[in-house]
Amino acid sequence: MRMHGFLAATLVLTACGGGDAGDAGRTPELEASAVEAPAPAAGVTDAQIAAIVVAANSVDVDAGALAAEQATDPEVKAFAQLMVTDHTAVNKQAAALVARLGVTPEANPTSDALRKGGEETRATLEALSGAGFDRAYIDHEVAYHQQVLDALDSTLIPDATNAELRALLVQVRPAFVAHLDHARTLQTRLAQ
Amino acid sequence: MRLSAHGVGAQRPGTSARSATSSQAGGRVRVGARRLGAVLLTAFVSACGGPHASPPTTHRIAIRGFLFDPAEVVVAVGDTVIWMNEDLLPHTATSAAGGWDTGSIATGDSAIVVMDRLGVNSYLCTFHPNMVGEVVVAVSRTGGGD
Repeated sequence: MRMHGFLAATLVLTACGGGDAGDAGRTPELEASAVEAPAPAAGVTDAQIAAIVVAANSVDVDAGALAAEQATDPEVKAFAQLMVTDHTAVNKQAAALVARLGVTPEANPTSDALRKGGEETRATLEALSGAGFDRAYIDHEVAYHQQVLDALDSTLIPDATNAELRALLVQVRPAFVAHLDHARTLQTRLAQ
Repeated sequence: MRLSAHGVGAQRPGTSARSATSSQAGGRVRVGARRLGAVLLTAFVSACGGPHASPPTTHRIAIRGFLFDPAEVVVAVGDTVIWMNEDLLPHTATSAAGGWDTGSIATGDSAIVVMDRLGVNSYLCTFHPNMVGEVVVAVSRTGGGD
């Protein structure tokens, strides 16, 4: 149950506020592929999307910063540092765009749940060490990136009304695909 | 692979082009857009100083959507390969077998490698190792005689 917060948040993200954290609980070992595709949700504004994007990236930056310090496997450590670098860069791009567009990110249940889930994930990971930490972190990364991809495809990209915001989301999407593939590669190796 | 970049005196096999202000022991030089012309000119002059009969060809590979596009190029010895990063995030083009490495290519930036040895060069982005490509140095511009 310790990872429930994060997964609940990501499921809420995909459902755009329609989820119940208590219903979304999964174990840390959950394979992302086992998560059912969320139903598309309606009615998320550009300002809310901006807040969701910032929250989603910030959550992974925080987890990455912890793992960059605490992971023992060199490749996991390097992956964690990459997450910090890449998601920080994405957030900078997003921040620059919304500033230029004059959009003020609007906190919403999805972004709030993401941040809360991120805090819980961090607390969970902080209690682990060694190979157990590495596996839990990578499992988290697989689930996280899969969920964000689902959210991008089902909600965030379709609902974005501003063309530049949508273009940014489209351009960001391959990063999540690459990170997911990378995390899955590590996950497979760590399981051996 | 031969480094051939404007502003870099030392050249050694298996290196790529990076900015002169951040050149490393490996002789890599990242090339900004404004410097690209000068670099290519120097590369051309360098190539023409050798035994080759024809000028080098430049092959452009876009990095977009976390892919190398095209993923495979076939070049001749002495040809130049340019990677242009059109993504939001930095990437590298790094020979899997070692020998050359563009180093980090920032968004909107480019880097070059002059290919001067026959062979198949599998490469990847070291930041995102699932990004892979191949440069096949298949023929010599002099018809394989050198």
